[in-house]
Amino acid sequence: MIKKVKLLIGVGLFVASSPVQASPSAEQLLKDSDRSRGALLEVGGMTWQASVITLENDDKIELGYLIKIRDDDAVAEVSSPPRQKGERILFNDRILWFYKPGLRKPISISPRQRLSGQAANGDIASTRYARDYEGVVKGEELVEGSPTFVLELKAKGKNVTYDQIRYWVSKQDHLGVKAEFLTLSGQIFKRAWFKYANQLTVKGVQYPFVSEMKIQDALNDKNLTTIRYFSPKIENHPAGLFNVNNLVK
Amino acid sequence: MPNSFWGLARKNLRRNLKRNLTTGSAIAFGFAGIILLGAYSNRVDNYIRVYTIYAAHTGHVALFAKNGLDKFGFEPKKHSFSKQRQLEIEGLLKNDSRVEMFEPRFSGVGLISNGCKSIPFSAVGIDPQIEEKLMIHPEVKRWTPQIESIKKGVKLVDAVKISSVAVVSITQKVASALGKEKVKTEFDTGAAVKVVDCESSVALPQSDASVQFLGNSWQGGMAALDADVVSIFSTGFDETDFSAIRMPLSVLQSFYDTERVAGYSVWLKEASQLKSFIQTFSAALNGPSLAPEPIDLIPWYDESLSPYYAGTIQFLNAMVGFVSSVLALVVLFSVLNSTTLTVLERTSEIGMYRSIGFRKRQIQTLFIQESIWLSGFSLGIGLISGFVFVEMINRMKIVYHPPGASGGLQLVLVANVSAIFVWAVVLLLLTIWSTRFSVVNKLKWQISDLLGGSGR
Repeated sequence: MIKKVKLLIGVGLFVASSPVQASPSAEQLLKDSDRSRGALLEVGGMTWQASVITLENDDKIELGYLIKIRDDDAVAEVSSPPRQKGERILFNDRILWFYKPGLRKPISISPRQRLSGQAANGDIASTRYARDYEGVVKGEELVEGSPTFVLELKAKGKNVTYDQIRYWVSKQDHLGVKAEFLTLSGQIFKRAWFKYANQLTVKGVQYPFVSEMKIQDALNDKNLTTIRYFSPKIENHPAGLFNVNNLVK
Repeated sequence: MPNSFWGLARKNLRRNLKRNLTTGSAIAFGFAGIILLGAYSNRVDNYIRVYTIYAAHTGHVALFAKNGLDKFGFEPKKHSFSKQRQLEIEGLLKNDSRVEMFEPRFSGVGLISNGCKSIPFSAVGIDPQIEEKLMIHPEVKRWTPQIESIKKGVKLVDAVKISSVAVVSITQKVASALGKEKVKTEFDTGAAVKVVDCESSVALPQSDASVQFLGNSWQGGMAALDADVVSIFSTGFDETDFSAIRMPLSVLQSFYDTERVAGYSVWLKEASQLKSFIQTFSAALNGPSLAPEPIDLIPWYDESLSPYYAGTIQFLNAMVGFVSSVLALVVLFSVLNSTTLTVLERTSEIGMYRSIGFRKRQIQTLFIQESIWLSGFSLGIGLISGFVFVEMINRMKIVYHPPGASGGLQLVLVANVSAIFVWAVVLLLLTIWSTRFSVVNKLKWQISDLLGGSGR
């Protein structure tokens, strides 16, 4: 009993002696969490690979992508399976284009459109929640034993992937660890969990980088899509790569 | 004493001309009304039947993988036929002498885009050769001639022969939504297809007939297709006109990256063989020599397959049945009323017939023969009037707008001869029965009462 009391007093003194920290703003939390999901604004360009594995109706579908980023633009090119090689999604800021060999011109698409299984087109490239959503910190919760801030995000415009997101950002390193995607009426239609096993070094500083996004259908637990991210690296890309008129060439 | 009084009956009718004209008019106009109603019902029934079977590519029988009709849209791979199974089914269909033709069924959804704007589509893959055969089918020519031709452009069967790009037929509503109201033949063939500058003030989507399709491939990932609009068509219904697309089956399969089909539409040479075909073909398909994949064979009129047909016909039959019954009752009570009064007025006359030696049955025969004269003549007038009204209405080319139908539909009446015959017999029997009913009661009286009219 005496030991427990001593421990409690010790913890109390430790907490009391710690410097008081103001809670970070929602915007700051989003900026920080976006960095580990591809929005490294200071580096200009990045490259990584992703595999999208979908389990739906007892079917398994796997697609490989090579993703190249330059500022607000991105290109996701299918690397596997061979029959779909050469298909590309171009992100010009919030405008998306899809092209596959044989088409006469690229097709304008929406970030909300299904890429594969539960993954939308907007899920595959870099995440820019700080730019696209208005966030409010609604509270704190434990996610798998770790303390997190709970943010409610509302889309600033129409051309974004989701209307509303409930987003859990870890208190310790400001990483998005869980998300619920909501319809306009507030119904949850998808849930996602994130892992950050990748590392990226920018100007001598090492950052954790997203390694997995698991997206589950809120109405059917068996429908699951996992996006795995590999080999992230800083790399500059020519501007022409992101010009819609060059997609066909 | 003779047993037949046709001449006397005719003379008696003339004696009571005013009352008999009134009774005859009730029969004639009631019959004409029934002819008109029957002609409307006949035409609508056949129009929707032929539309469902032929224009909508339903066939007399639809063949699906087990539960495929309901579940193909959600789990297409699970509820569709593999290439191997298609070959087995097609082999059986080709060797069945009852089958006139058949067509694989395949459909899908996605987005259709003009480069700036996308709207949802619901596409049906068709075999252009079968489409051609269906549109010149005698049943289509007879009952739905106005849906035979596309609204604008060239038929898919002709377009596929000359185009190197995928061709598609879209509805007027889809065309309007995308600004693609001109079809390919209205543009220079050499014009290059450009990426549309959607911010530009110039409305470029209208500069060519090119559209693009976007969906989800059956193999995962996105599906995309370039196509040229070669024709504008209508499904006949507002609801489906907002998203309906028709394209060659092979193009739609290629778009979704699959060889599988959802099922088959089968047209029979004789519609009367439908039930026997379903029984025997089902047994053959699920027979021991073929893969043990259960199959559903659904007749064209089944509510799950043709909900519009089933719903409309149920409503129509209820309405026509009710109105016809009311008309028949009006005729019945008019005749009953008239004959009761006639018999009442002629009580002394009946007594006189009895006193000069007419037997009860002979008097009854006389009245029934009067009734047959009257109703026969009235039905004849009604028949002529009915056909004249039918012809007049058809010549007036009245266009009406049934709820849910896209565009107007011309009111065309087609008299149903067998139904007319049945109704004529029914009305004749009703008249005879009502006459007999009135006379028989009167004949129970004593002659003295009849002559004195004391029973009035």
